[in-house]
Amino acid sequence: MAEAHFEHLQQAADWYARLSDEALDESQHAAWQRWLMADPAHHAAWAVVEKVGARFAPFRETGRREQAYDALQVPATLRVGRRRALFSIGVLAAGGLLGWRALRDTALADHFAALRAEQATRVGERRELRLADGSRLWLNTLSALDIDYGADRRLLHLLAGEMLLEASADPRGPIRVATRYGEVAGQRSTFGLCHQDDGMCLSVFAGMAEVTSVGGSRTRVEQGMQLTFSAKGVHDAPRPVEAARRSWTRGSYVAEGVSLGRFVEELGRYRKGYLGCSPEVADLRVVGSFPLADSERALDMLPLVLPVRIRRTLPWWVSIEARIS
Amino acid sequence: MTISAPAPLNPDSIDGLYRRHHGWLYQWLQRRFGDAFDHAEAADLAQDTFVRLLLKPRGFASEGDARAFLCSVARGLSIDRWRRRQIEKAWLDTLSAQPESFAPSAEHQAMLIDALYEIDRMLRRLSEKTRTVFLLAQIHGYGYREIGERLAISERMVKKYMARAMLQCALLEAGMNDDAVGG
Repeated sequence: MAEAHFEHLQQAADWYARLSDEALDESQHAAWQRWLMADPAHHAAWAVVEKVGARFAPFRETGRREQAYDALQVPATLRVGRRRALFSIGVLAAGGLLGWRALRDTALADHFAALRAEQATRVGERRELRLADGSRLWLNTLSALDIDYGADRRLLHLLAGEMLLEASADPRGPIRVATRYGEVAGQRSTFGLCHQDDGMCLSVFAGMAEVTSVGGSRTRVEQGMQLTFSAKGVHDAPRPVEAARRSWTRGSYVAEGVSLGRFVEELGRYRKGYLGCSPEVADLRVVGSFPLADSERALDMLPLVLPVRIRRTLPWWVSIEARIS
Repeated sequence: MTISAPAPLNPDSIDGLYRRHHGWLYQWLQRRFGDAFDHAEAADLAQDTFVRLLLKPRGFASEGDARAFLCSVARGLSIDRWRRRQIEKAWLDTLSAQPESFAPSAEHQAMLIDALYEIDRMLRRLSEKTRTVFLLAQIHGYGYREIGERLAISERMVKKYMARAMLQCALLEAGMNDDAVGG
């Protein structure tokens, strides 16, 4: 079993090395997507590789870079008898990075995807598109989409981020949206798709949509319902749709009692830098409508409704903590 | 990952091990790492070594076996501590050259240093060149051509070093490298 894992990690590391170069062509990127979608184990391996990549994220900022680079390049020569000793790895300290794990990881894959896609949005950007068949499509922050329309097909590839689609009817049949976890088809319907930590969230606002997971399972989702799926299939029973999955097209995030942890994950997508919340406040529930164009203001609204304080350590480093009264 | 099951340990054996080997270990640490650590630190490290053993008890075939194990744990702890200090110093040294308004709080400073230290642990087993390639790409975001030019190696080699470095890190991240749990 470990063998298989090793192999997948090896493949993932290899892909990472290929994707990290600036000079990457379309076909390689497509090949990576195919690899990623071919097996849930690939996805798991990629997640590990991304996690490693995310460890470097805090040090990529200007002004931090040189400092971090220099510190890590300090020669590791402890003056002892045998230099060999330096290469032994000690007992792994537990929890050293707990604080970091709570912060939002930069989704490297999303950045890569955005670089190569036909339609890509930057952090904080939203875009509205009118497709050739009259369908309307909105692309949320840091999202990437390829449009592949032909004589016999209406196919979209959501490579990263979030979209909302108002699909028109057409002789070619339903619009299909391919994602790394599976495909969603809909006709004369309005539905949203959003990459989340635990999979792909599908929200149907009008009509109905059908999910076919990479694993092959099919599920119909009716109007007003929402569910999350991954390569293995649908996670749970459909639940009522979240307003937030559509309200972003109008520039606001509508929180209907989501956990603060989730709120931070959502808001973090509209911001550069790091937004985290400490574990003791992560389960607090957030209700309200928050402006996405001004996430600083959205953050400032939080202490008005919750027992938290916003700590701005650096312009790009914001954490939400319990308020000590 | 498989670790050989610890032999049953009777309650007084940690105590016994401590009495028989603590003084010896302390001296060994001083002799070995005397340049890097003072007496108090050596005592601290000896203590930490036994704490590790307490947290994860195991039996030993012989006294020699026990000492070899204690040495290897103590060595690992010494290197960790020394390396952390080195990174912390390098980080704070360059920080002092920056405008004060940019300086994070001591608490977040410590978090950053922790994060750097964790990265360092992952990179420890890489060759110097592999490490440099990886850092130039990860932190500075240079393309492979630029890295190749700086280090006078081909782009192909850059890619190879990148994959090697990432695999090593990924194995540690996934807890699949046995060295990660050893002494």
